[in-house]
Amino acid sequence: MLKNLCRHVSKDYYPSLELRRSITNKSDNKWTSVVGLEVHAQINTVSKLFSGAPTNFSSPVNTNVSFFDCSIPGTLPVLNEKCVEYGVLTALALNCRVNPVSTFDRKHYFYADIPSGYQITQQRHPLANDGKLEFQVFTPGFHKTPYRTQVRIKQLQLEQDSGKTLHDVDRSLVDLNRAGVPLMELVFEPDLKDGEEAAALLKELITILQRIGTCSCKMEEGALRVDANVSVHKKGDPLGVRTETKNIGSVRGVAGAIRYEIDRQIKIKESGGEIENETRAWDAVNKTTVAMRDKERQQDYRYMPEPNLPPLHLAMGPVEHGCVNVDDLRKSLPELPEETRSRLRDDFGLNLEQSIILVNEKSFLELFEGACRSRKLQGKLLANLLINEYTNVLHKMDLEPSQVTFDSEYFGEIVELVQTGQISRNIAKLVLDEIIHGNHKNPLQIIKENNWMQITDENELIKLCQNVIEENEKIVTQYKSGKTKVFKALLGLVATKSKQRANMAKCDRILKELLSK
Amino acid sequence: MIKVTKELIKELAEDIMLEISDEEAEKVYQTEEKIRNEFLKVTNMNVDGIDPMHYPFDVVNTHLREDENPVTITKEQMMINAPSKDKDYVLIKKVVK
Repeated sequence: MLKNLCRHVSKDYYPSLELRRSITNKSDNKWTSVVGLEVHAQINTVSKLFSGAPTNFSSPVNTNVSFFDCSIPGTLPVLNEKCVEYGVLTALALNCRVNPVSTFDRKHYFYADIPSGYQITQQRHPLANDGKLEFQVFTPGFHKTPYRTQVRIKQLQLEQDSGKTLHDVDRSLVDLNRAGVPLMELVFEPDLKDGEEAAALLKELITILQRIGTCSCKMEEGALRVDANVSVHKKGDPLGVRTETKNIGSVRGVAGAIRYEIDRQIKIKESGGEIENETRAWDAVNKTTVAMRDKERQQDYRYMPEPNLPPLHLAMGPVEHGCVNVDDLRKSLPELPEETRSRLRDDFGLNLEQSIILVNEKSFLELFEGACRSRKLQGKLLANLLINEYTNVLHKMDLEPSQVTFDSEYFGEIVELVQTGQISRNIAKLVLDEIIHGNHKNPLQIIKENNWMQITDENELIKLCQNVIEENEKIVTQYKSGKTKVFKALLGLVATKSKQRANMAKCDRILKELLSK
Repeated sequence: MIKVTKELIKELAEDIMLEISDEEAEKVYQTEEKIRNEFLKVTNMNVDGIDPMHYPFDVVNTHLREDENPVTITKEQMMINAPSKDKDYVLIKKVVK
């Protein structure tokens, strides 16, 4: 059923069978992996965190810049209100404790893409702390059934992004377009155990952030970047030395990098080696992590309070004065993914797997809800057609669901035609294929023009089944001698002979009756 | 209070990508020592019952900028303090090996 969705797993780095056994075996002598994530999410604003320069992704080099961004002396930071609102909204969606007062710090490091020599961040008194996110872990092809787990969020802080430096043979080129772009840094506690959990957390986070509109989550544009901390140890031993793989730019990359890193660390430890506390990078082409620089000597960032920004006061509870009102923002929170999954199960009778797949794929959920809006449809049938037939057509055309705009009214019409027995699911697939290939006619027109209406007439179906029996003596003999498994082959031949138009439920009964004579 | 040594000064200089000689480190050390001795006087003050402050003034940030009408400066203005340029990029000495 979920074959098409499994391809996301196979492309990643996959650990050897021995290592998979060694990680998953519950014996005390086996390795346990510990994974924590830090996520930098670009806040969805038109201007930067402390300056009025734009944040467009594809602007020409050095055109999204203000005097403040290039650190001209005398310029001062002015905080963007929407960044505070979106930071608070995100914190609330992640069940964090929003702090009534937070402060800004300077984190010093000298690098050309931050001309001021420091990044303004919220290291000591962040916007929010102590969140918790429950999510479902389910990678079709990797997990047989979904399971629920949770991760704690240590803190959420507002901070500036840095610019971009390109390195030539003997020189470096600086583009300050990203310098000062607003980020939310989300620090998760190391509560995860492998790459699949990390990928599931990330998918959940992306769904939440897109739902509340605080981040576009376009990883290909750098709007969401992930650092993964990984260590391995044996049960009962203290935690192992961790490595940090920086700036992973895709969900698959996160799963692959973590799997590779767990595998690499176990191999080193098994052969008597020690893990270096180091920063690594994910090589998405070769599916490996490579060392970047060692962290033996912790760099001293010399944090100091940012003197140009007074503490940020928020209005909440009895405190009415503040830059933004936390209680109003809480009221504006939309339905969150976990609530949607529950609703899909309660209101439409979907199973957990179906609800997870629909919520993870925004375009599926939109099609599902759009199709239901004006018709009374069976939820399970609708979900199955989306997850199986629709996905299958997209897969054959090598399309991602997000690349296709399918009219939900048309989708609803197709489901209704299947539901009322006018077409089979196989025909539904042909209609979907026609429309995705650019046929603009409505589903019923396409069906009529192609003579695809389902054959339900009892006599016509009996004739069809009889013909198949007569033309396939060998299979019929096998069936009658006790090989009942071949029944499916005969049924398949009926479907093919009718050009997928036969009502298969009726054919199943008719064929059995004819064969028993 | 952190103990200032010539080694620490050299380490901090390296952090900010400055190369300083022993003589320069000694000079900075002497200056730091004088400043430090002045600050030591502050440590003698009685601060019992006083919370540490992040910001010296008792003001509340009420002015935030609305996220609209983004503005930019010209490329010429952007390059005012740039050491050199190559087309639209700021050009600097190579910073990684």
